[in-house]
Amino acid sequence: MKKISKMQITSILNYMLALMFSVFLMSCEEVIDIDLHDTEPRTVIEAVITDQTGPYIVKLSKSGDYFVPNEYQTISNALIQIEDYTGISDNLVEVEPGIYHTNTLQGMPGNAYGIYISIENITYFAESIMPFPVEIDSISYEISENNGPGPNSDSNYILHCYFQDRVESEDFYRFRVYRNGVLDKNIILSKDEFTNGNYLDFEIQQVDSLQVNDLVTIELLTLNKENYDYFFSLSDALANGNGGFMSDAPANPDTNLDSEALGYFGTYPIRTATIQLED
Amino acid sequence: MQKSTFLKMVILLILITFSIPILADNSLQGKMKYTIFGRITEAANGETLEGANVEIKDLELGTTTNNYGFYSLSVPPGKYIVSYSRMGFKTITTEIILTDSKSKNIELHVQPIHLQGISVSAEEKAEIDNIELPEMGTIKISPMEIKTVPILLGEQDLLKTYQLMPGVKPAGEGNSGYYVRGGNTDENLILLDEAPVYYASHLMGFFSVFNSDAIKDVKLYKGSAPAEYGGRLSSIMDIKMKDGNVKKYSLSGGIGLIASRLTLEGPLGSEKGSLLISGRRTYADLFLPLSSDESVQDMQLYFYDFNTKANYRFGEKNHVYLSGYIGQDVLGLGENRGMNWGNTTMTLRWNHLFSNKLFSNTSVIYSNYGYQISMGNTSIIPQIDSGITDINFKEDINYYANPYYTMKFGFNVIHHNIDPGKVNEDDETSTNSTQLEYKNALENAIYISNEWIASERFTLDFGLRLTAFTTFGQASVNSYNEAGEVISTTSYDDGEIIKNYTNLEPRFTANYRYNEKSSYKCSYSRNVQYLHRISTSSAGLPMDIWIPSSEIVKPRIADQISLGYFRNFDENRYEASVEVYYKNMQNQIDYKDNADVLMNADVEAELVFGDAWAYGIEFFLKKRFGRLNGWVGYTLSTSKRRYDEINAGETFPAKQDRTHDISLVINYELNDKWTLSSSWVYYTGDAVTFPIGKYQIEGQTVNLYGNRNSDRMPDYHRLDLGATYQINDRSSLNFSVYNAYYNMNAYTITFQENEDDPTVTEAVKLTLFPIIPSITYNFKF
Repeated sequence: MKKISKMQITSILNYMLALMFSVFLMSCEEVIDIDLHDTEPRTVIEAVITDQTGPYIVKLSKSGDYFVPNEYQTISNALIQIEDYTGISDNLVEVEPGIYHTNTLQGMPGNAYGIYISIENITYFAESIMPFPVEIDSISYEISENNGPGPNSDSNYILHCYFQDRVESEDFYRFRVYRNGVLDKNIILSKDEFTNGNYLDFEIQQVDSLQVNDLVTIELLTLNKENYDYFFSLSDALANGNGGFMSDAPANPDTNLDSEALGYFGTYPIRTATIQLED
Repeated sequence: MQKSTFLKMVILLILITFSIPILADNSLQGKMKYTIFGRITEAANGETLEGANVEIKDLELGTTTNNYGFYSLSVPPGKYIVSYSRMGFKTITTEIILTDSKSKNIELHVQPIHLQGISVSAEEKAEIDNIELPEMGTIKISPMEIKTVPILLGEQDLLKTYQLMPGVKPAGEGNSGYYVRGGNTDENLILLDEAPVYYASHLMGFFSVFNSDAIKDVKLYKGSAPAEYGGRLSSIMDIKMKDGNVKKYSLSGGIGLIASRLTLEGPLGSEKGSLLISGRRTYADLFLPLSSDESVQDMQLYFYDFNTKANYRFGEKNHVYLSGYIGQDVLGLGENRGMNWGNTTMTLRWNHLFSNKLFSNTSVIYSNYGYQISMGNTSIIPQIDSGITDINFKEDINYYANPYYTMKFGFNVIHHNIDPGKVNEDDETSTNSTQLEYKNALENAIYISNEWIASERFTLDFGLRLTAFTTFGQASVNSYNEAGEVISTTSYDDGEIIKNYTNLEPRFTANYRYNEKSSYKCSYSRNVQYLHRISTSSAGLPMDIWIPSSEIVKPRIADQISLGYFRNFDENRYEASVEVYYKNMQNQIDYKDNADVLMNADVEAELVFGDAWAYGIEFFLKKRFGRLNGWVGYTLSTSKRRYDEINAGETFPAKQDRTHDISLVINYELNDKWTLSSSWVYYTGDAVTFPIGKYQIEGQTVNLYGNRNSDRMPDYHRLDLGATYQINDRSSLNFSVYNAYYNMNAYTITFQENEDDPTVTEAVKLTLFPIIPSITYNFKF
């Protein structure tokens, strides 16, 4: 059973609209100079715990001005503590500027985790429960015959990920695709709103430039609702050209962190499958 | 409000209403009166004329024809000189000896509005509606005026011409909607022969759905419509189709670069009825297969629309009309991918004269708007379907009590059926076809509206509209906590009432005629809106859904007051006005940050509610006659919003808060053959949200946003030019250029990584319409 996610629908529609206008009306794009309001650098926290072996990583950085080439300040000497509510607590160690590792903490599905980050005078907090994993049954690929217009028009391959959705819970998924070890940029999400309890054949069409003999790895992340909401709203805020048509009122992603931090605290199990693309 | 209070207010109004004829009929009180009544039509084709004036100068009395060309004037017996006139037509003066009530039907002949250098004599001078009538905040443009304004691709576009008037602003290129006095695009009701049209454009705002060859009259009320109208906060656009030529067959049309149109009209029976069929289609898509780009070859891109109308008069007291419209837009990308959308409307009407003072119109109306999106791929065809269907029963009565007093009353019952969305899965791979629950609602109204000529200088238009809105099952209704999670569900059976709202909407306009050339007007009106449009995209993609008011989503209410000064110069050669308005809106709706509204059964949990208000001043100057004619409009205004959940409760500008808005239209008749026209628009850019910084997540650049709507798009301006060459009586050639000085107006500004160097982020402006020339050949047989 196939399912098209909302994100795919909206991105296909954006594309149709753009195509229609560009073909029909010779619209044009140009880079312009524009004045933007500035702000004090804001704290960015990327914290993730998975069920794979540790250490788990927390990255702390600051935001920068828009028209300055990327050079994000890191945040050192922060105190980071992660607790699971069974009594285990881990104080992270800074191994590189802005990058902190856990020590002995082992991520377990079903556990709730709390993270406390102290930077100068401010403490940031978030809580997140790690869902139980959904297993990948198998993955496959097919050669795409449809080279028609659409966001996947460059791709020669469509990947399929087969898995069984759980009927008793509301489930949220993220798919990460690695092409020869390199993570693809697309944020691919799905939820079981229209397909609860079904055996699913999830199609991944957005990964461009897959070619014959590529080694492709698909990771299935089972997310809780807060992490799903974060990634869903993150994709609208990305600077890779997806926005514009859809967002009348772009906003910062829905985060589970407090005190106006950017970023998120993610806790999710990962299941992996690999396949080689043959002819 | 409690039922007993309503009842008291309604009874009070009825008492006031019925006592006015007794109070009003001063100079003629007690005298026996007879009625002169009849129809006023256009001589050449028999079309009824609305708003034509019937005057008896000796008595200083007059009246105007209603929507169906009917007039009724009751005066004592005697010999009178009666003049019949209407703007754009030669006045007819005739002597009538009244010894009994008498029917007099009149045919008026067209007189072109712009006379070359000939001054208009006193007899031929038409009544100047803007001074005489108590209407304010209304714009009426005759189809003839529309034909002289250069519009995109040579098509004479109704909606685009109205957007050249003060107080009415286009939502932007590629967007079909418009803003009236700071209101949102869903606050405008568009009626085509009384049927609501929910999505009024083709090709994303490129063309409107109204073929101006089939249109007779259009009037736009900017928030102060009389009590017979209601349902939207900001404006009512009342469009009346032509009935069709009652005297002879005629074929007219135009062939243009992008679209062509054809209209056939003619009589049915001996001048008792007529038929009109009008159609339009684009064919630019016929050239697409010639493209070298494979993906473009498979594209489909077209729209069509048809207007049809038939009418027949049965004797002098009955007239039946049937009108219909069907239009579709199709965008296809081959392989079952694409979208289509369109409206279908039908109106059946029966005019009946109960007496020579009592005119009735009964209408049954059907309207449907729907769209379908297909995401086909090779093996399955999932589709989304959505739409809204209205069935409407309406009764309107005009009672011409005496020359000083006309009363209108009636009621309107609308059944709304909304399909918020259905996901179709192909049978082969089958499973969950998901249907979001249908929503059913009844929107009812009853109204009384009075026009009272209180004295020589003073005219009052006042009325009351009582509206009620009820939603009913079958449905299951969720309630939510602050985080938007469902906390409980209530089930309703088929026909069980879920929620009911009742509101009173008073309407009032007064006109003080200072002298023949000028008048002062003021008005107050309350409008209530029960249906709300949820936009799934800002680009005007036609995939919006309408939701009815509910426990959570209260009806929106707007109170508007306005004051105006209207003045004509140089024997009515120039028309000028200044209007000031203030509008306060309650229960305004907006979206939470990162709201998810597409195919969402719990869309109400994504909404926030707050206040809105708008105020401004509109200047207007028009030269009505002469080789050089045209108008200039300037609006200075603001539109603000405030919600607890947005921008920490601080007031912020609405997207459509455009401080300055200027429109300039100039036409020049060079000689017998050539007419030149031009229009220039300038407006402040929309309020938008731009990034204030950036940061990195998973190695990707993310835009950092600050307060909503704290930035501005660049100001928009554009010049359109046109020239029409009159080949002969029957045909003409029109050349036009859209965006003549090729201003690269911004359709969107997106903030994204540079294609070659992802460590650099830049602002990219997309301009939708460059300079676009076009030629259209128009003919009429």
